[in-house]
Amino acid sequence: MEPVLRARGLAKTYVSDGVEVLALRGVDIDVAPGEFVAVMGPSGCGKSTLLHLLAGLDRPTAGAIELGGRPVERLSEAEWAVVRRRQIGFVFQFFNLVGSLTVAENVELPARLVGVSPQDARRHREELLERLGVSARTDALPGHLSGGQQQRVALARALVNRPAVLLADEPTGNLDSTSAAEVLSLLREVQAGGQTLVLVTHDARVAAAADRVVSLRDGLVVDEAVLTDRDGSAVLAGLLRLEA
Amino acid sequence: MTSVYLRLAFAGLRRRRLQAGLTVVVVAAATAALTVALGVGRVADRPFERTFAETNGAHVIARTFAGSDADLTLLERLPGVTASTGVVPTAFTSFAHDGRTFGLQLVGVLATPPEVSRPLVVEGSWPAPGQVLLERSFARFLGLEPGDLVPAAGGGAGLEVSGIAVVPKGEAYPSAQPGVAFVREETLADLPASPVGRANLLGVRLADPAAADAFAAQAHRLLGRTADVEPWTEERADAAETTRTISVVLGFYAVFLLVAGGAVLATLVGGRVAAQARDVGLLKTTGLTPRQVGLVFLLEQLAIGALGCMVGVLVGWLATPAFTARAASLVNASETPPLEPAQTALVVVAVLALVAVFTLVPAVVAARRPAVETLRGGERALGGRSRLGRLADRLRLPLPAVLGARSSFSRPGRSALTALSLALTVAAVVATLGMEASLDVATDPPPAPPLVQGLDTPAWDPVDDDAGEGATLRPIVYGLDALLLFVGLVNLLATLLLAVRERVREFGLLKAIGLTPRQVSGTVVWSQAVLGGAAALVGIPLGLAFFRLAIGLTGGSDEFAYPAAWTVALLAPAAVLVVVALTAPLARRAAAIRVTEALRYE
Repeated sequence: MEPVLRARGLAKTYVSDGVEVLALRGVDIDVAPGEFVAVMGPSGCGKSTLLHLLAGLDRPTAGAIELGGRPVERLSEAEWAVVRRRQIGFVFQFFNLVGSLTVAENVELPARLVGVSPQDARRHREELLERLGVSARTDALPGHLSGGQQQRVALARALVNRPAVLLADEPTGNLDSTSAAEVLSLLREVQAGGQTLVLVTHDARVAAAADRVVSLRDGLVVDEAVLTDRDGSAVLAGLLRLEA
Repeated sequence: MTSVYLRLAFAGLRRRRLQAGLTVVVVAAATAALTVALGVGRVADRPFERTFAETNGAHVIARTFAGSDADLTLLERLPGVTASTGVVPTAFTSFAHDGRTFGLQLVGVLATPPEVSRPLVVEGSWPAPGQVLLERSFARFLGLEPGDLVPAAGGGAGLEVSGIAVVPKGEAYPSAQPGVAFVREETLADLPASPVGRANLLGVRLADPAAADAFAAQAHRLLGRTADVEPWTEERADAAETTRTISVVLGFYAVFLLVAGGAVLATLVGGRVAAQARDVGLLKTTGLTPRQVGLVFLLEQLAIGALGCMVGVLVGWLATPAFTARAASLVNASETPPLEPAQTALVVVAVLALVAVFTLVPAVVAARRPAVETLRGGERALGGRSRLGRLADRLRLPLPAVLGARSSFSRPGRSALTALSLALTVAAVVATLGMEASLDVATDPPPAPPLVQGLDTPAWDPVDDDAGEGATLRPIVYGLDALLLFVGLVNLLATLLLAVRERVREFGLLKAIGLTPRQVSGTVVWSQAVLGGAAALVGIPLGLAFFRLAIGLTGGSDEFAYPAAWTVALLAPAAVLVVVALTAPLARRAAAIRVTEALRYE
C-alpha cells in the first residue's frame, strides 16, 4: 500500500553557539495509512525534531518528505499551514494551547479555519470534548486546567478536522497514569477510525499499543520492531513488554 | 549576596536585549525632553522681572522732547530715589533695509555701560564711536549681526553693529516699534539734524519699587505736560500681557513633555516588568524573597535607566540652547545660562525615581502572587468570552479579526497600558494641532507710529506684527512639537514592538494549528488596530482637555483657537492607520519565525 507519510534521508543540523548539532542524520521512514507508529529513543536522539519536520513546523537541512504521495518539504510557510489545518493534527508535549482563547475556542479554531460553519464547529467540539471527558470546562481558559485536562483539549484540537495523520509528541509524558490511560484509549479509538498515528514516547505502555516501534539514537533509526500484523495479531508485543 | 543580585540582573539584560535597547531609547527621549522642558520653563518664568533685575532697570523713566524746557534732573532730587541714569540723549531716526524703512530709537551711552538701565550685551561688544549696539528682538527680526552695517539716515556713513543687547522691554519688536539701539553720545551728536527727532530721557531707581506709580504721578506734576513719565509697572504689565501667551505655550509643552516622558517610562518599564511575571516565579522558586526579586529587577532597570539618562542628558544639553535662545528672544528675557548641573541631576534623579517606581510596583505585585500561578504563564487572564470577541464573531469578521479582538482583551492590564500610551501620543497630536491653529490667531494689527508731541518723527513703514510674534513663536512651537511627537513616536514604536514580540510564541501556536503567516500577522494587526481606535477615542478628548486647561491658565485668552473639527475627526482613522502601518511589517517579520523557534520564545 502507498504510504501516507514517507521520509527519505531526512537530516537536520542546528547551529547553537557556533557549534553544529546534528539532530537528525538521514532518517528514512514510511507510514502506511491507518498505521500506529511509536518513535522511541533516549533524550536528544532527535525524536521531537523528526516529528517537527514531518509536520512542517521546522525545515529539514536535507531530505524529502511526501504526504499522501505529494512532496511537501519545499512548501512555503503558508502552504504548510494549509496542509496542517486539513491533513495533520499535532499534539505538543507541553499542550501549547492558545492561552487567550477558551477551551471551546481552542478546539473550534482549526475547524473554523477550514471553513466549517460555527454551528458545525460547535457540534464537533462538543462531541470531542464529551468523549474526552472535559466538556464541563469548555468556557475555561487553558491556564485554569490541569495538565491532563489541557492535554485532552490539545488532542481534541488536533482531531477536530479529522486529519489523515495525527502527530503527537509525548502526549502522555506530563500526565498521571489515569490521564495517560484515558489519552491512550482515545488514541486507539482514533486509529480504529482509520486515522494514521505517529507518536513520540518514552512510555513502553504507550509504545506497546502501536503497530510498529521505530527506535532512534543519535539522529539515526537504529531499530524497527513490528508489534502487530496489519490484521491485529500480536507478533512482538510480548517481547517488548519483557524489555520494558 | 550583592554580586548574586548583580549577576541575576545582568543575566536578565543579556537575555532581553531588544527590550533593554528600547528602554534605553525611551529613557533617553524622556530625559532629553525633561531637560529641554526645564530649560524652556526657566526662560518663561517671569522673564521681565529677571531681565529688569539683571539690567538694574529704572523704576520710572521720564522723557522730554526737543523744545521742552522741563528739567529732568529735578527727579533725581525727589525723596525715595536711590540711583539715576542722568540725562540720556536719544534720537528717533529711520533707515532702509531690505527695501523697507525701519524706525529706530537711538539711545546715547558712554564708553562704559551705565549703572542704571544697563543694556546686557549678549553678543559682540559695547559700541565704540561710530558703532551701534542693537536690541535683540530688533536685531533678530532684521537678521542683523555684529559686523553688519546699519545705513545712516540722510546718507551719512553707516553704523557698524558692535553687538546685541537685552533690555527690559514690555514687548519685543515688532509688537513695540520703533526698534531700540545704543550708540555713543558723540556718535549721536554727529547725526544730521534731519530727519532726526531728538529727545532726552532720565531713569531713576526707587527705594520702594512699589511706589513707582505714585512717584510717576508726582514727577508728571513736577515736569509739566511736555514730558512723558512712565513707571516700570506699565512696562511690566505690557510684558506680562505678551509673555503670558508665550509662557503658557512654553509651560504647556514643558508639562506635556513631562507627562509624555513619564507615561512612556510607565508603559515601557512597567509593562516590561509585568510581562516578566514568569521570571518572578522562577526567581522565587530558586529561593529569593519577593523583596529580593524586586531588588533584582530594580538593579536591572536602573542599569538600563542610568545608560538612557546619560544619553538623554547629552542630547538635552545639545538641544536646549536651540529652544531657549529663541524662547528668550521671544519673551525678551536675557539669555538663559546653560542648564546647571544641579538641575540636570534633578532630572536624572526624577527619571530614575520614576523607573524605580514603575519597576517595583509590577515586580512586587507579581512577586506576591503564588509562584506556580506566575510560572503557568504571563498575566492573570480574564475568564470567559469577551463581549468584543463575540461581537466580532457575530459581525462575521474574518477569523484573524476575531482572534485579534480577543487577544486585545485577554491581557487587560497590558492592553490598557498600550492603549493609554497610544492615547497620549494622540493627545499630543491634538494639542499640537491646537497650537498650530492658535498660531494663526496670535496676530494683532501693527502698531501705528507713535505721535510724539513737538517732534517731527521720521516716517517708517509699520511692520506687521504677524510676521513678528507668529514668526518667532512658530519655530519654537514646531521644535517642541517635533520633540513631543518624537517622544510619542518612540513610545508608539516601542509599544508596538513589544506587543508583537510578546506574541511570538502565540504566533507559533497559531501556525502549528494551521493559520498562515498572513493570518497570524493579521491577528496582531487587528488587535493593535482595536487598541489604536480605543486610544484615539481616549486621546482626542484628553488632548482637547489638556489644551483647554492651557487656555484656562491664560485666563480664557482669545489668542488660542481650537483645532478645526475635521482635523480632529480625521485623527481617529489616522491613528488607526498609523498603528496598522507600523504594526504590519513588525508582525509580518514575527509571523515568519519558524514554529519550533517561536515556541521557545517567552
